[in-house]
Amino acid sequence: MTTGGEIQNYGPVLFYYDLYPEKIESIGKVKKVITKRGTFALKEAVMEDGEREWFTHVIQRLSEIGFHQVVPLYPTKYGDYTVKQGSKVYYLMPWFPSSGERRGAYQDEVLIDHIARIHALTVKEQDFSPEVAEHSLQYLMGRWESRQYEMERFTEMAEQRTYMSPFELTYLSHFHQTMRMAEDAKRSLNNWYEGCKREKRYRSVLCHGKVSRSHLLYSQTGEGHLFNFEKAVLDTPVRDLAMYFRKAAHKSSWNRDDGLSMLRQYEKQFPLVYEERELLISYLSFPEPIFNAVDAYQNNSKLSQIEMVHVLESRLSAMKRIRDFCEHLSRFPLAGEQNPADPNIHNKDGHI
Amino acid sequence: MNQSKLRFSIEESVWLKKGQEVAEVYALSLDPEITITEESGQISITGALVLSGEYEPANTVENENSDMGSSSFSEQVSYRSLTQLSVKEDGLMGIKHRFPVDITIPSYRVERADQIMVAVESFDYELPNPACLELSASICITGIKDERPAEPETKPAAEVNSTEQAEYSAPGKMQAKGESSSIFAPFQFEARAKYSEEDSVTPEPLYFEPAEARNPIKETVFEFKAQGEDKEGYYDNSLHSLKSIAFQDAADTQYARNEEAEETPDVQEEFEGQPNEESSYEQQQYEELAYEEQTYNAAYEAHYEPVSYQESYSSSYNPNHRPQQWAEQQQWGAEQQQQWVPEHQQQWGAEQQQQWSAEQQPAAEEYAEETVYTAPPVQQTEQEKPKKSYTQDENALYLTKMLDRNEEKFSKMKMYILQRGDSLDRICDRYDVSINTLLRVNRSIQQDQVCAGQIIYIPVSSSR
Amino acid sequence: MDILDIVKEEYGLREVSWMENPFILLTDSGCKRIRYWADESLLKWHTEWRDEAGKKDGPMLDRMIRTKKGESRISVNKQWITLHDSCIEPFGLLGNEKQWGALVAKILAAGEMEARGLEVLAETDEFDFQSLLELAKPVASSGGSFSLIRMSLTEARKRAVQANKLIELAGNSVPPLLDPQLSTDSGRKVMDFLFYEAGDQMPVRTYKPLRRFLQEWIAACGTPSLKRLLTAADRDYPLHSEQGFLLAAEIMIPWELKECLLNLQGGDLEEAVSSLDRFSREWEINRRLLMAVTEWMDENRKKVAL
Repeated sequence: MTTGGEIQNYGPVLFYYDLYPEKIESIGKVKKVITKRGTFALKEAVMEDGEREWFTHVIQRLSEIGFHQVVPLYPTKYGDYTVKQGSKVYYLMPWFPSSGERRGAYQDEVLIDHIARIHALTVKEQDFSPEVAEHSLQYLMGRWESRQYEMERFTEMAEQRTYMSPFELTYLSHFHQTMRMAEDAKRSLNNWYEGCKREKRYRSVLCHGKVSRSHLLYSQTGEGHLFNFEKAVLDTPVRDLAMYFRKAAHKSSWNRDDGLSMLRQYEKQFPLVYEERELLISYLSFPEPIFNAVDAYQNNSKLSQIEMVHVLESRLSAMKRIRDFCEHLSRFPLAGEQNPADPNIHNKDGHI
Repeated sequence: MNQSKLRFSIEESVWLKKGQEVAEVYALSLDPEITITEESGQISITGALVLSGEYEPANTVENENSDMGSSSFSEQVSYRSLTQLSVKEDGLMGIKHRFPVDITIPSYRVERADQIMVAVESFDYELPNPACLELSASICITGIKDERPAEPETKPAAEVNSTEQAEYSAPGKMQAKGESSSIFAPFQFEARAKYSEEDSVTPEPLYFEPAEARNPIKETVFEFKAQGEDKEGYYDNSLHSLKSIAFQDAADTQYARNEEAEETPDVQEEFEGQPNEESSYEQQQYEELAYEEQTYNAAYEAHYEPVSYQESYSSSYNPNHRPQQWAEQQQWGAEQQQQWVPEHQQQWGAEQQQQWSAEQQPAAEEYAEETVYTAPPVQQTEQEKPKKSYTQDENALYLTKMLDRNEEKFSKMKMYILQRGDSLDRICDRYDVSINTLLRVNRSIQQDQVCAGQIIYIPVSSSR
Repeated sequence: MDILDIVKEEYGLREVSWMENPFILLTDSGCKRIRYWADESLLKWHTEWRDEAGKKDGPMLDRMIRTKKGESRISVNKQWITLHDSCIEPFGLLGNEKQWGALVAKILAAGEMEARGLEVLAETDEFDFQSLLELAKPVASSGGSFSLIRMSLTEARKRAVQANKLIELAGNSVPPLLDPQLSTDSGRKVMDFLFYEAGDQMPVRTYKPLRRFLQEWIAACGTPSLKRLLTAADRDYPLHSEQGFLLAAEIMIPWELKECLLNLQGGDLEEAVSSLDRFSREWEINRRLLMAVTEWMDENRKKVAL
């Protein structure tokens, strides 16, 4: 879709790149810019000044440390990597044709592979501080418990009705299961806390922040490149993994073996330690997606009753797959080290 | 025939009266107002170099106080359009002074009188301190024939320099111009002070105080005495009129002038025929010099003492004195001064100033024009205009155009440029003055050390 | 190697030819200007200053275009050259007060950047009434058109005194560093936005360039437009307080008289006439400007007080 208006709108931004567009197409948040000098992807984002600098820093840092599977940013003619116009920030990348023919697991493998490599390249042992760890624990525990309490309130209200809505009925029939997952999450969180207290360690990596297949593009040569590092952040590697698995589990075809194989793929390059795996289980187990659906239902979502029920059902089944995955995960041998809680595992399965 | 120029430079210090110190000089110019007459084989160039200008007195500047932190900014922070400005700004002081010029040249040295031109070639001033204007100018007279056509390089220029004057006590310090400069046949410079009514040797009495008040140079004091004491009307204040006595004490000159107003008509005549008397009189004067100076200074101080005493008393001994009393005292001081030297005409305020001129007008008919100089500056320019209309050029005057001017009465001092072969004795003979008189007047001269090109002042009692 | 080839190579351009040797180039990326720099610290300041101003949204300065290697300059024959965009279409003044105001604010704010490494600043001309009078000596007594000079002297002195009071009012504030070539003529229109071609001179720590800029503005657009411009600039760079006093002080100083007197020193009659003419025009324009600025400040202060 091209309009003269868009050329007008993006003209000032493209002036920074000395590009004079002949045609601009909107593809999601990316504009495909066709000029005499080639085709480019212009990404629009909302970033604060600090985030802009961090973003630019991340991109530069990645190439400095040897990670080249990032969709490169073109500098402006003044050497900057972003352009601010009004409330928006823009950056320009080469245009990579969409990866139509490469589907399914292979894409995820590439994605996980890249993420693991970034984590491996950026890992940093932080000075362990029991106070910080405890603070994190308390904070998350408190939040989760208040969420649980809210959900119990909703359950009580629903139970008092003579006629429950289909949504409430669906929710109530899975309530105990959901609450058990929340409890699992809390237990694993405690395990994480005990683990890092015992080992006195805490690792941080550069997290992409928005791990998704849609942020993987393939160059002419077929090599996958990551982009959209706008939400990149230094955090535990579990953050990216939890985001990936949660998203992956939404596919009905996804099962625990897919999950385990991806984790294996990941740990080829960046093996998790015991407490990190506990943290992953904890993050994945907490049934936040279900709670979110309840929030949406209570807040009179625009969706119809039946649509709401569908959303809830799909999330419930995703949670089921997650639970299955997590149960296996806790028995899945650690790639990097013995599970201190279960010293026999090492002997049984050995390394992968 | 060779036209050549006669150049001489003037360096003068003008001292300003207390309270009239200069903050900024806005404009100052020196213009010749010259008449040429030919008489018995002599060309006389007479008239004056007129110093005129305006300045801002130091005390006005501090009065512009406004609080910029408050009220309307745009009203306080503004300036006027050029169209709102006038040539004479309020609060500006005028300066007007004539440096008398009287030069006689033998007729044979001049081809045509109407080709003689007097020009101020350069003029500059400095303010070493707010009470003193230092002027320096170079005057050039053209249209004079060179006596020796073969020698084109003619430099009769001589410096008349007040600092030089002050150096008289240091023997041997002589300004020696090269021998070669004496290519002119002798002719005379005469410097005169005029006492006709329109004369303004006393430049704006309002504004000036005698140099003696703060810088008592003996010569000037002497000059001062000469005028003040000499009731017979011989006013030889021209003595150093090309030197530093530019601005006389207002009170005394005015006093003298007032007397002159009554006696003038024949005064000059009386003396013109009596050169001998004059010179002996002068001698006497010189001898009295030291004594009179003392007297004068004492008197001067005495007059002022009460005022300053009151001031210092109230401020230093009675710090708790109420302001009102203080003001009264000041006023008292002012009255005192006013009472005892009415002619002093310190500027007590515009109103009083006006009053002064009004009061004085009836004093003598001839005096009427004098008030021009006591009136506020604006009127002054207007009065000046008719005179200026004579001038064709600001700096150069074709002198013959000025011949229709009234002849003025002068007492004078001749300037003589020493020629090669001259001796002081010969000069004394020629001008009928005693060598002692000559030496007293020209303190920088050592008898055996005169040289060609040097300027010598010769006091004379009459001109023609 | 020819400059064209060097530029082509270093900046990764495909087509390069002279449009106006040795300053304007025609390239495949549009018209470019080459600037030549002998003083490295000056170049550094101009680069950083433009970059600093370029950090913010809005009107653009002609920043140094980077080479392929990301350098802001290249060294050629013992000097440096930088490449800039060069545009032709002027950016209008009237009606564009917002953009211009934003530009002025940007330029002023960037001028507060520390003058790192800039060893010698251009001499900031201190106004001295004494030296002005010295200059006025030869003409102040003359008549005719020159009486204008004498007439203006008293007012000029008052202006100098007032200016000093304004400077006192500004306390310890100092003006930002400014490009002495600030001008309304240097604005270009690039796709409806304001692109400003700045200069290459030693910066000065005085509002004199802004004073000239505002004179140009008020002469072309009048007082209401100038006030709108100030309001727009004030949004990003406060001009209604100390910096405004300094600006007003600079406008108050009778620079136009000094300039005129300097021109008169030459003694050329024709030049003297045009100098006097320019002087009286600038005196009046500057007067309008001062009035507009102070009125604007009054309006602004009222708002603050309420």
